[in-house]
Amino acid sequence: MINPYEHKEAQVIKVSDQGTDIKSFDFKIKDGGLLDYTPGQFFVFSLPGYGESVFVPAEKVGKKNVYDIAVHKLGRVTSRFHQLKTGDTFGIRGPYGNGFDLNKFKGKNILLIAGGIGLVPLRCLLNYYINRNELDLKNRSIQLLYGCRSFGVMIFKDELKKWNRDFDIQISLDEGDHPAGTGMNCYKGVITVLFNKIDIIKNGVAILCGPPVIYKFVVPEVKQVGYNDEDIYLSLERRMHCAGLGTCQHCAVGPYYVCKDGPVFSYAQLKDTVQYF
Amino acid sequence: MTKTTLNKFIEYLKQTYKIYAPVRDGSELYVKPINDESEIAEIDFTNQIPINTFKPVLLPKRDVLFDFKKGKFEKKNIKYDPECAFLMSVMDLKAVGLFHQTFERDPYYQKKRQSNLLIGQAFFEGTGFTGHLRERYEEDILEHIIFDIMLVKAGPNKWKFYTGSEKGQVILEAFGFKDFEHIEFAGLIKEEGIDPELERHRKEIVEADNSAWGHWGDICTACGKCAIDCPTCYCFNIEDEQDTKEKGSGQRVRSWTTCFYNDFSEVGGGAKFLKTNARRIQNWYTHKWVRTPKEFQIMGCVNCGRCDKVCPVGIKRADVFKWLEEHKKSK
Repeated sequence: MINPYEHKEAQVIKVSDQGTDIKSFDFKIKDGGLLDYTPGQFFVFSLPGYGESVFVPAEKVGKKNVYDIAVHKLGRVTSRFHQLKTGDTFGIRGPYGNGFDLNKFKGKNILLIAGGIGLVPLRCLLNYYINRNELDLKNRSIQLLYGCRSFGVMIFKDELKKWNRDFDIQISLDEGDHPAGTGMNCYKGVITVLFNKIDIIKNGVAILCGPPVIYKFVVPEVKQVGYNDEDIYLSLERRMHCAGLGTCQHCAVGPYYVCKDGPVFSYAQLKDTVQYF
Repeated sequence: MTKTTLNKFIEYLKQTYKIYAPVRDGSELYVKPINDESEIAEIDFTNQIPINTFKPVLLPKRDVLFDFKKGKFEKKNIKYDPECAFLMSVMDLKAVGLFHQTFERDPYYQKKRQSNLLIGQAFFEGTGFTGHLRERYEEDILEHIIFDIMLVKAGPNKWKFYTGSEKGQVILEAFGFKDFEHIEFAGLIKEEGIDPELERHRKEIVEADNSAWGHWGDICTACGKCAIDCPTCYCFNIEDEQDTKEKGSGQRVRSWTTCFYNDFSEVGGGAKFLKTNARRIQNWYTHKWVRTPKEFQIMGCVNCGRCDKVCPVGIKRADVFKWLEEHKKSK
């Protein structure tokens, strides 16, 4: 019987600062293997002596078999991660969960809404499209609304600048100002301010990822724009220990397990579930 | 089999297995290890449900998943000492069915199950059935639960033996006892489907207004005792323990927890999704009556009554369901 808790070995090939207490780690699988996954699925990263933690890796644009994760230093495992240097190794097992329904997204406008480090799964989807020339901007619109506490905690700023050449990016910052010269529109306040300031794309799918509070306040705004419950997708974060097997119970949300039935849910699935945000 | 032969059989099992069986302590039974002849004599055959469960025989309270040395994991050869759960009730064996489903792909659970021996005891007195009908009734129950050997009370100090696995057959034959009947496992779900009363409870949980749980959240102390003593609860943590003597060495350990504990749903940064006792007790009931039937088409409650008995503030399932029903009507 396969031991689902065993992992592959991965090696860090580059460490970059992404913002206050956030680093990204470029890595490859040590035996040269691919990570076969659907964007939105997650993996479990393992550091012996410190434990496991869940991250959503993204393909690097234009680099084969190289992936990265963004790690926010918050606890034991992530603090240890921040000490890793180029050449260091860690364990990885997965993929787990369902990921985004790419077939359903084909040819449709995509409204991406991220709060803080919630940009990570959405960037995973964008990088997947970019690497396969599937952004398909001739036939549809993509718009990214990105809310952050301050400019300092905004992640993947260089990529945001590049994306901004191809599709619309709108930023909201709770505190401080957005430096001039980035070319991106920026508004002061929490992410919901954007709904009063700009034209939000319609007739497509909306994908949200961020701290729980954004679901509470942003979903009603998205519905107001005209999106159906079935076309609003939320990628949920939960504590996980078995992480992907649906046994440990930590990630249960009403009738679902985030690690098995999610982490991507439609709002139609979650709207009657009290514990989802 | 008579009581004298049965005691000899226990002695025989003790040569291979560490035995856990119900023993009386005051008015209650507790599952305890049976070490010697005097403790064999203390085994209680009354079929009263013990306060604690046989769960550790299936899922150890602390289980080492991997060792690591110098910061590297070592390939694990999963191995367990043979243990025997002796005199499990039909309800506890129903719970084993749920564990089998849940841990179907878990090599630790599977190895543990291979190494252990599950012996049940069933009382079918008072069913109103006699003769051939009673045999049919007994077999109907036995073919839907998982066991190796089953003792069915057949009179004062007399038991009829059934086997539910090849392992059970081999053990009884090696002991020199051949007067048993084999039951072919027919799956956990009976032909008539889920018990209608349990199904009614499932609907009550699904349809309950979230505000209904506030009342129970105010009463519940989130001590987790109901979950620890529940035969179908299996929440666990996986954490690394570092060896204090040898740097970079230690173990990745899976250990019991409960969904009532404060940090159970906490994520990095401190957010908790089961923040209040109301949300925790709602989650516990949702697991038993909604998630488990959704996933496995069986109920997550085997109706053993332990949770009602051990709750320090007197929360009883029947009261909760009655409250949910009345709360719904009042809305």
